[in-house]
Parts: sequence; C-alpha cells; structure tokens
Amino acid sequence: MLLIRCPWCGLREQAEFSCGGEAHIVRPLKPDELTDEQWADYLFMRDNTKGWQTEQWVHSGGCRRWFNAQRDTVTYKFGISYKHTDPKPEDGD
Amino acid sequence: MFEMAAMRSPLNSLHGEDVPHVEFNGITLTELPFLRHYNVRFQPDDQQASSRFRQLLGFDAPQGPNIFVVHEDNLCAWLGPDEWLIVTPFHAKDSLDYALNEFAYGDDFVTRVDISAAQTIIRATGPKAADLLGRGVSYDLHPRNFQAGSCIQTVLARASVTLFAQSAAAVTIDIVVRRSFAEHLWNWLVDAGQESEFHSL
Repeated sequence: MLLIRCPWCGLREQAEFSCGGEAHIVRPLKPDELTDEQWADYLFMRDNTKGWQTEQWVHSGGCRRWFNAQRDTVTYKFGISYKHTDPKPEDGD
Repeated sequence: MFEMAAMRSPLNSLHGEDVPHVEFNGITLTELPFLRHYNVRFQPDDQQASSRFRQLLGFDAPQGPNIFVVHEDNLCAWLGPDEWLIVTPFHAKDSLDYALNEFAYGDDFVTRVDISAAQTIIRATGPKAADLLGRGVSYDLHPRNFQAGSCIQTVLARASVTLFAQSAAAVTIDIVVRRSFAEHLWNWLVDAGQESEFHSL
C-alpha cells in the first residue's frame, strides 16, 4: 500500500489523496501584458521531470487541505511533504 | 420549531420508526440520530476569535490534528487547521445555537454552518468493533494507536467518514457519515461483520 504523508493528518493511504500536478508554478502578476506564447507556457507547459519533482496534492478523503509533496516519478517514492506556504525544499534522497 | 415526533433519521427506513440497532458476533451497531452538527471555521491564530470562542462556548477548540474534546454536552472535533465539527444533543441545541450565532455575528472572520440534516452518526461498540472497521480502513484503529479522544477523517467503503474513538476499554467508535451514504455504510458494516473471523467471540 502506498502511504502519503499529509502535513496535518500524518501518514494515510493514497486513496484519500488527489494529485494537482506540478507545484510552485506562479501565476503571472499581469496576465494582460503577456504574449499568447507566455500565457500558454504558464497554462500548459510542465517540466515532465524524470526523477524527483514537487507536486501539489490534496487530502480529499481527510482534512481537504492542499499541500506540496516531493515524489520520484520513476519509483513513485514520496519524499518530504510540506505546507503550500513553505518554501520549496531540496530534492529528495 | 419542529416536532421531534415528525423527524426521521437517515436510517429510519431500515428499521421502521425505531432507532436502528443491530447486534451480531459481539458487535453492536446503533444510530445516534437527531444530534445537532455544526461546522465552525476561523483562523486559529486569530486571538480575538479564539478568545471569543472560549468565552461563548466555555472551552478551547482543539488545536492538534486528529483529536476531539468533550465539554459538558458538546463534542468538538478537529477537522482541519481552521475547521471544527461541534456535535451536541438535541436538547442542548438552543444554547449552542445561541452561542454560535453570537460567535458568527461578531466582527471576526468566522463561519458556522448547521449541517445537522446532512449527516448522522453510527456507533459501533464491542471488543471487535475496531476489527470490523479495519476491514475497510487502512488507518490503524487498534486502541494503542487510535486512543480515546482521537478522531480521524478517512474513507470507509468508499464513503467519507469521521471516526471518533469514544472509549478504549469497551471499544466504542462513532462513525459520522453523510446521510446519503448512511444506509450503504450500515449495510456494508452488517455484511462485513458476518465474516468468519467475527464468529468466534
């Protein structure tokens, strides 16, 4: 069973969670000044990392809070989970 | 003001007009109908809101994750860093209603929502109650881990539930479930309790 650590509730099974894609993508402050290409880049383009990446997750079956987690996209191993207000940590082990 | 006699619980349809109650293999399931449930939200670091909460309700909202407190008639459970569930018996609803209205109509950024009609509670009692729920919950419900005063929100038989560990000695676990899932969950619990490991009590 794959367990994911919610920063509030602790370790819970993966079925309680939903993934919200890559984390730390900042919405442009002035969207109306962007070119179509820059806007499309913000909306659609992702790193598609092989290895450790930070992702947004929501504990939908529990406390219903969003948080960020490190996950290895090759092994599915989870690293650190942290609140979405915390800074991005170093890559996992 | 509505009449108690005219109220129907989400599980009444299973057992006519009686409060649903079933015993099998040393496990007792019963519904705790017509309790009043309130969802309360405020920022825990808002000192003014926290102190008004204490002043109006007489206790502090629990700050830690996965715990609940009982104060007189009221049970207050942690649901999230800024969200709580308060459950109170029908007879105490007027005083709690008054306190929560006072709380919500202040200047602080707080909400309270009466969700009594949205959910009900199923109480599972008996030495094997934790084993029964363990058929569908991955969280360790053994009393050494899920001690009295703990509450968790999880998924049981594909239904979102909140579990309260009410007592450790004779294991009593209360299951808060949405009304539309109540009948399904009740039937699932009765069915799961028929498995052979529960017969040897």
